[in-house]
Amino acid sequence: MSAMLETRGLSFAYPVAGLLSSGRAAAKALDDVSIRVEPGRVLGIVGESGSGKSTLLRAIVGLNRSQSGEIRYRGDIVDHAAGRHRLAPFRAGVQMIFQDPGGSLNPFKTIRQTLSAALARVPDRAAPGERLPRLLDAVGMNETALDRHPSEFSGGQLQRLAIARALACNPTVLLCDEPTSALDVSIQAQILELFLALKRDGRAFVFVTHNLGVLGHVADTIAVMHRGRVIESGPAREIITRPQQAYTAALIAASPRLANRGVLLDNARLRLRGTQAPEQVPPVARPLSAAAVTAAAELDRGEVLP
Amino acid sequence: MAMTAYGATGWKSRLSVSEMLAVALVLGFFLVGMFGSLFVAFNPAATNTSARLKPPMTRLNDGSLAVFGTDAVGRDVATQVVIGARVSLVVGFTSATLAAAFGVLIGVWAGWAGGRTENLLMRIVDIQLAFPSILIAVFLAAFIQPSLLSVIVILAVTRWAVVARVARAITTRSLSKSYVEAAIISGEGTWRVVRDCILPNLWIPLLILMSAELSLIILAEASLGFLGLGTPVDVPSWGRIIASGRNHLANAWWIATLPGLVIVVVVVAIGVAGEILRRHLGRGASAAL
Amino acid sequence: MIGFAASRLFNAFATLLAAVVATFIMIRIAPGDPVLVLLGDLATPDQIVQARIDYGLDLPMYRQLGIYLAKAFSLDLGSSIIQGRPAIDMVAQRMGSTLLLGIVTFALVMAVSIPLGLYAALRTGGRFDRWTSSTSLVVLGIPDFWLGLVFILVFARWLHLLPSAGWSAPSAIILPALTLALPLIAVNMRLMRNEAIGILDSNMVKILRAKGMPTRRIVTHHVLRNALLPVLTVGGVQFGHLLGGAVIVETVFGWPGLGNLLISSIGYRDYPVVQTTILVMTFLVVAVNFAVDLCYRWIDPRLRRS
Repeated sequence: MSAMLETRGLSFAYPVAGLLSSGRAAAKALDDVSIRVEPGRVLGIVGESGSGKSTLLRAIVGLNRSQSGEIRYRGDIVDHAAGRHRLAPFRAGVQMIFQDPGGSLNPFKTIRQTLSAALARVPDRAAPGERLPRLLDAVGMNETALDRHPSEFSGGQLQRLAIARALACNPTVLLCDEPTSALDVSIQAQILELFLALKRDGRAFVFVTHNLGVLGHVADTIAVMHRGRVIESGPAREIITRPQQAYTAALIAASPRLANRGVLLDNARLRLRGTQAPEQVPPVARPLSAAAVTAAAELDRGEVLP
Repeated sequence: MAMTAYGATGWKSRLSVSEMLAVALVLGFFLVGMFGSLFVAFNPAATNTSARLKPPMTRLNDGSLAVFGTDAVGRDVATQVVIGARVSLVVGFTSATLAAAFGVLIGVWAGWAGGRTENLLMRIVDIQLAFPSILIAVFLAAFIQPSLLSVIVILAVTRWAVVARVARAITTRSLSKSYVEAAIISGEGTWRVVRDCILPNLWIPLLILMSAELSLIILAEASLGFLGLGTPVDVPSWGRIIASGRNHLANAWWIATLPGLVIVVVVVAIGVAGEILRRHLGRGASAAL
Repeated sequence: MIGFAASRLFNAFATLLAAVVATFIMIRIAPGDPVLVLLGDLATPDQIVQARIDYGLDLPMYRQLGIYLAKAFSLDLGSSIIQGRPAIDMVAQRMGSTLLLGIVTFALVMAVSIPLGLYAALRTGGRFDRWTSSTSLVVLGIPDFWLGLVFILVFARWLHLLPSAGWSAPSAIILPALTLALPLIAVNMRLMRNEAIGILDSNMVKILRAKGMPTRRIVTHHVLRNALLPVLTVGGVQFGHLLGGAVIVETVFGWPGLGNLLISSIGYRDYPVVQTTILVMTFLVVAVNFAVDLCYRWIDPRLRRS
């Protein structure tokens, strides 16, 4: 299958301000990174803080000022220095979802203004009047949200609206930068559910997180990043169950809470679908951390979910 | 404008008596500056030797009351102060607006462009801010033909750098917000991103900064007038009135002192009004200043 | 530290050069001609042309600038067109009085504002604190030239306590120094107060109190020391500005300083003197800023290490 989005040998270093210029390069944030993602697939990228995960997404969309290497979208090379017109298909086709919920919504504008502006970027025969409700419906919100400002919503609602904004130009690739990290476990489950629905539409995802537990449930393939390099990649199950690199193994082992988070999310999702969890999956070999115990207790008491 | 956002009652109830007085004085300054010249007759060439150097509250021959006394050629000082208010108001506002516009332009440009452009522009700002602004104003004014326009431009030149520094800081901070990045990576044009995402962050800090700049510009305009630079000789600006009273300090103290007192009252009132603005709008904004 | 000093030295030099070049261009594009001032109205066109050649004013501006800079590097700053004396001598003669006024004012500001600010901080919200906070707002609204005139009126004309102008007696420095100092005292006192309140409120002081250290010792050993740093930094910048920005107060009191010289030499279009005055003023401002930067680095251990 041909790749929807791929990078080849992408490298980038954050510039350090010098005496006269800002040219001197210092820390290498990305070092020869090559990834690819196919339609309807989720590529998970995992690594600790500072490993270059977010920088990779920013490099793909052109938020970094100078970088080397190749980015291809639907097989065509993407040149961020190119004119607006030539970049238009890439701009519409690749959208980003940010970590801070609602951060991608302009606080000075109503949801209607933001979404209408996003819809206006792609030509469509249907009137915006029809497209707006359809868009909100896709993310589980309704029209009452339209004439409010971002400050009037909760975190989960904001992330839904942010996803709606990203979906407005009907992208084929969604780049998600820790889209659920700032949310409660229960809300996380709802948002992940939404992502899975979008995936079934045939959209490709690059899903960046430090949370292996989350990845295990959404990702088809996983790439592990460490100090700006991809040190290991392959099918998700394999990476989690049989990590080849010591670093990956350490990443999994060092986070018992994260390893068990997947169980919590499973339960939450099952409840979302209206079926009871068959039984509490017994905690795996490692003991649960205090935070996980609390979270599990909350889930059991049904405090977070309706 | 801000009244509607907060509700008139909310504002009134939170103002102390002295603050209300300050707001009233600022409004009074605006009204006198805008319309005062319609109600007083002033002829710079007129002399009235019988009414020379009369102390304050003297009843003159023509029956008028010289509240601030008269000057060396018998002209009413209070009338000159009223006319001078117009110069202060016009120079203060246009200069502050000009400085703000230019400062915002340079600051947003620097923050947006980053890299070398930003370094270069901010280096220029730093160099200018190393000098006392009054020195720059005096230096420029001493060369240029006195006119209202040249004073406005000179004072704007001395104040733009502060605005640019604030505007750049806010732009840089805004650029790292996800909604600005989202707009950029969606292919929004530069002007639309600046207008929709960056400028709205600037208005409130700018408003607060402008209230301080207005005071400084009024003081600087008076200083230039005092040195005989800036406004033309036949336009009675506050600084010029005080300078004209300098030679009569021994026998007519009021010519130099009373107009100065008016400056103090106006500038302090603007300062208090600025504090009120800062308190009511400034929570997020004051950090940027 | 040495790298930092080098970069600051470079900045200082850039500022100096920028000021010199800006002045050079400014005085030459401004209307007015020193030759006309020198020769008077009766000069013949031939005399004017000859004088322009003598002073090198017939050359294109960039050549004049080049010659000026080349000479300036060998410390030849030219002679006054009007008086014929070396410009540097005229400036040096005035520099002493400007420095004297600056130093006296600076000492006065620090001696008054630090203790008063500390006192206000120790009695936050007390009568003195409230009184000074409203007074400082008023003081900052007073035009300095007017304050000078009021001082002359009261202390010289009415009370006959002090000389009103010039250089006649040592006491002549009191009124100009007081005029310059008053607004700076208002600023620094508030700064000292706010810094001291911040430190008194810090966890460090709470711990010292809990350990039973007497208040007097806390104030002298910890509050004063930490609060002084920002006050001295601001004071340094103010000192630099005093050396250049006392133009107006010098005029009011007829103080024979650089500001007075600058205004009169601009009036005569005496290019070499204007140029040299600006050069020396800039040098003083830049040197003070440079010294403050270095001291700040040296005093603050956090900055010293980086």
